[in-house]
Amino acid sequence: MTAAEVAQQPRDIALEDVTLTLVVDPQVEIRSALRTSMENLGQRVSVKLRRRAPKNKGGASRYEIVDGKHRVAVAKDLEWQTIRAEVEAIGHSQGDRHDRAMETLVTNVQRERNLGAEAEAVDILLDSGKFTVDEIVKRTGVTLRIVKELQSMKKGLVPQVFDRVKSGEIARGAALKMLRLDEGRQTALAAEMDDEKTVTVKDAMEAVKDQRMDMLDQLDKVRPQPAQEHTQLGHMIQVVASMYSDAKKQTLLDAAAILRGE
Amino acid sequence: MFAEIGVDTRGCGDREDGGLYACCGLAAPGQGAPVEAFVLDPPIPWTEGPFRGVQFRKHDDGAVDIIMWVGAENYPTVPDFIEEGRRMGFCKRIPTGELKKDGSIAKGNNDYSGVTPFLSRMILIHPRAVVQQTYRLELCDAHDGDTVPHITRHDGYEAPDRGLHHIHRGANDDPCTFALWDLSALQAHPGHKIISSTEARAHIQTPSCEYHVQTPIEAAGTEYDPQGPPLGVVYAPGAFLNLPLGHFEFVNSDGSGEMPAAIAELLGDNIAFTSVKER
Repeated sequence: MTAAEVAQQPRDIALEDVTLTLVVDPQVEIRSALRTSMENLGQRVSVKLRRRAPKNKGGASRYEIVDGKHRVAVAKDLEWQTIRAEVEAIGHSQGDRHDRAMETLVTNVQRERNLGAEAEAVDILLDSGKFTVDEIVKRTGVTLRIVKELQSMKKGLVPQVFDRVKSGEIARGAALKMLRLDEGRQTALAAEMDDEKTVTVKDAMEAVKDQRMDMLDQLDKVRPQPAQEHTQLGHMIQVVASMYSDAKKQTLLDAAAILRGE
Repeated sequence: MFAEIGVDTRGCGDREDGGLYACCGLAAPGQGAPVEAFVLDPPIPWTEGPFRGVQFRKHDDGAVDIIMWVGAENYPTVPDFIEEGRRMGFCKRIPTGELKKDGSIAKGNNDYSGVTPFLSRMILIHPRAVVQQTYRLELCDAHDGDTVPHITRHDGYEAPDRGLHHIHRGANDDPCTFALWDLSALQAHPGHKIISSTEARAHIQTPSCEYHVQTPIEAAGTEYDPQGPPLGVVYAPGAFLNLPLGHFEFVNSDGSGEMPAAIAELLGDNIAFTSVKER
């Protein structure tokens, strides 16, 4: 085995060095079954991690989860010290970034969704200029609708909201509705979240409705100035005058002229 | 009988037989107001996305406005639409529903009987009406030369009231709708050709008109270079024009001057404000 291959073999990683950003876990049943399995049988399948730079110079490496967040979460619940993991070799080339992005899309859509990671993966690939939406669809098997949805999320959500989508605090439905909000309203809605409250689809729809009403109120204020109203009324009467003859027509034409200020 | 509507080819092509059009015509010489008076400045952001057909908006006084989308496929920039209207009047096709073989129409939402000419407004939305980035423009005076629009633009430091048209927009300032003219010199589109451009002005050509604009000093943080690559500016949809609805026109090229009864029913009393044209 080469040194690189040896480095790729599963090994035990300290759980305290693994970053787990799962905050809201909707899949309670999966976690419960997994916990029972891991309690009784231990860890059967290695998780996949990617090494990140230490927070401080000389500090321990940190790891982010590529695949296996539920297993990591259960291991932490069970107060394990380590977890068996395959650690991805870090490549710094663009090609490595693109490969990781492709893998994120394939892995997540097949297993567990992490919209934030998937949206970032799509963004990396599209921003490179080397991949079109159609090419991403072709190479990952992810549908066009989902790729476009992820693209919209990365581009259209403000960072405060996108980070919460990434952490799982804001679910897909609410995130899609929030795309319809301007940046100010997105930020305000995200700021309302606290430890107990998340943004639901209903919350997002209420905000969209408020935004629509505000916009229509602005349009309602677009009314002609009194001087314009008189001029336009004059034009209208002139048009109506054409349907009459003789004295009545002249009366209407005179009225039109007066209103136009002539 | 009604204010003039030009019948030359427009950005959206020629008028279609069987089409019903909402119109705001040109006033007689010496009357009316310049088109700049009807521009919504600053633009009102439209957050509902593109739509087909019309949306009605009823007011407390009973007036019903018509909101319409101007597609960038036919009018890539806001000034393309407005400059055409300045010359030919404004004329926008409105849906009538499907005309069936028996002459009836599936009316749907297309009931124009509640609209009142000169009281109702046509509010136009364009996908590139709201500039989302910073810019710096040249000073201009409404009476200067042949460039459009005909507005006076002040130096922001001398005239701090942002109700005026300013030469610069910072990150937290409202955009000026009239900046769209200058910014239209930055990038060509199908139907929006930049015939020539210098550091002072650009000559724009569309399928229906030609006009000259001042070129900007800077946009999106980049100085304008007429020889350089096009500058991409980010826009968002917004309401940019607020026109009085003057009359309707129905196009019937058979020479009879008639319109189907089903169309007349959609118009209600507004039949009095509708003319039948051959084109």
